Amino acid sequence: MDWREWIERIASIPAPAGGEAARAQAISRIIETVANEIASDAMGNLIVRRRGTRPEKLMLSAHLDQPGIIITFAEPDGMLRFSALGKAEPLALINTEMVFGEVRGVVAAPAGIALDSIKCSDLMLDISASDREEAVRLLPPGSAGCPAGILRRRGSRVMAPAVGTSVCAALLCGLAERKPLYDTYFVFTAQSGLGARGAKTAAFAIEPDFCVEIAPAAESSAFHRGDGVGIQVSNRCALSHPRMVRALADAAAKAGQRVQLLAAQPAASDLFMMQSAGSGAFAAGISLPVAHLDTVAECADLRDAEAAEQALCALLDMEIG
Amino acid sequence: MMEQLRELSLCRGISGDEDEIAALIERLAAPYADRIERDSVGNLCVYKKGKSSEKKLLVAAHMDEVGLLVSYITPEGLLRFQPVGGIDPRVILGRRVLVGPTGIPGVIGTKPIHLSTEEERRTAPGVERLYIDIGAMREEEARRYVCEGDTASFDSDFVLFGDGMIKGKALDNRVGCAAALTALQCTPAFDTVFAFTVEEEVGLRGAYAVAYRERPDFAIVVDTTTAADVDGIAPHERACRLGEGAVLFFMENSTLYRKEDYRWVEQTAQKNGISYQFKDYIAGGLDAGAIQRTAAGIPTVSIATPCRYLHSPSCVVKQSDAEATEALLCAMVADGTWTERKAE
Repeated sequence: MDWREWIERIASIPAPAGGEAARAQAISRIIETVANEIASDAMGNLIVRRRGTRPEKLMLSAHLDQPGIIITFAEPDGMLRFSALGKAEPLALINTEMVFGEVRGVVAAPAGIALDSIKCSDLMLDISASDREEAVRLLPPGSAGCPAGILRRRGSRVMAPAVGTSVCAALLCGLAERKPLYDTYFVFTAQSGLGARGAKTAAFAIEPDFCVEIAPAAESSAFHRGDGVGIQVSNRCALSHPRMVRALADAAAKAGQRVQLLAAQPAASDLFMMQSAGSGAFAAGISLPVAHLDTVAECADLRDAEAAEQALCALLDMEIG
Repeated sequence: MMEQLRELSLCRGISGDEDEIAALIERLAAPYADRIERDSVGNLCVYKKGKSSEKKLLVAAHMDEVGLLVSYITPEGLLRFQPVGGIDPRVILGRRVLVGPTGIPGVIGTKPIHLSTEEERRTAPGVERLYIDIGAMREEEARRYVCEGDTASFDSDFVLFGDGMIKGKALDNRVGCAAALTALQCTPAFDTVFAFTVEEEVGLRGAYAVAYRERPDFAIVVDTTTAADVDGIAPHERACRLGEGAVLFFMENSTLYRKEDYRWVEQTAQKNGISYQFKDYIAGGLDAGAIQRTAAGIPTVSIATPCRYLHSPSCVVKQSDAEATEALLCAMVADGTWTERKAE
């Protein structure tokens, strides 16, 4: 089946940090037919192995989790207080519908609050509970949820909350169908939005030689949808290794794809955890340009994902020099 | 517990300079330990055989405390310093401290008010405007007693007051150490390492090494946590409350706990009739952040005693909360059902 068809399935399963199990299970079902080994670990990562003909290990990561909120406290009137789980901006959350399994609610801001200094702790989730008891019964503290929203498609464009993450995960599932040259680990990482926490333990267990993170990045004046495969040269906490950047650029060229290089991305990343695991690995990142990143209306273009797929397919076939 | 806690609170052990507190804990643990080791970064590991050796449990309590580090000695013999760990400079002006290995008494000073500018009077001084005065008149005299790199701890009495309250320095985390020392006296369900970790206050640094070396099947962190149950704070920002029992965690800044893990802690508290509360505001970090993500990942839970004025010379905890934390830790160590946790 075409990996593009899996985007909607993945996006339809909310996956706040710590609550990735359902999405991991769905991905596991998609990918199990081609896997040599499938494992999950204490952090909630899904680790899928496909043996190649060469013994060196290649680790490809995509995130499982998306930004969300975690319930912390119930007010006497049944309104719930919460904290951000990952990059959930308080301003973007106001009046957003949130989904917690069967329970849904809307984020409310107190009337008259100054929006320029608003914090998550100023906001409340209204789940229509009439008092504290009912609210806690429906959503006990520790419950995690995500913005609600169905995936919309127009031409090659897709829009949904955290759609970039879903596209990257689907793309990684698609890549797993290809027989790789190296011993390859397709890793769907948990708690990426809390500081790439899942990638740390996964990379420790795998001890990769080469790594590529596939993740969404914000569209900007220097990084556009439709302008070619995004290769991450650096971000806030890691520098890609030139050898791996070159390998990705070569792979893109082989696949006939243009390249755009990104530097100084603001996000913390799996990249750093993978390259610094064990005795170190050669790592770089593939970035998918996404508009309105980390909002309910995140928008990606499938042509970019297809370009990345072509480049990564070429990478799976080739020797990394 | 109180006598032991008094001794632990008064003992000095700034992050990176934990020998004194490690020696005290080693002495207190020795009668109940099968084996005691200090690792290369200074963690004190106390090993205790369990009923079964099939699994291994790690109990981690950090033994270091926040304090000051002498960074420069002025020609007048005053000591400039850097904070070690998160210290609010507003709460240390005028406080007594003990400096260096011999505990030279000193007091934290700043320039007199009549020489302060309008701006300086309006704002609390940061550490750059503070110094430690050990009564020396010149640099050479000061150097006879202290040198750069010496640590200074708060000099603060251990006091029982009010409705079962305790005030002292370093209750973060000597309360947790006291609980771990009590738990050491029971027979654990599984072989257990009680690790008294170093350098928690400067980035969970000791815990990384312990977790990596021991690779336990499960870990319990016991600490104190900030309670903001005071006037002027909205109920949803109080985090936890004195008098409401041991604090359980579903999340703090360093760790997101797995539901099946913290539910097991809650069930253990319920089963044993121990009062508990969940921390209901996300703040602070615990050794759990280091342990959980060590190696291929270690399932980790945390419990804590609520503490007001954390990281100040006058931490305040309630005796009944400290006892609840201790009872809960003992129950968790003795009870091997953590092996039966099921994913929700």
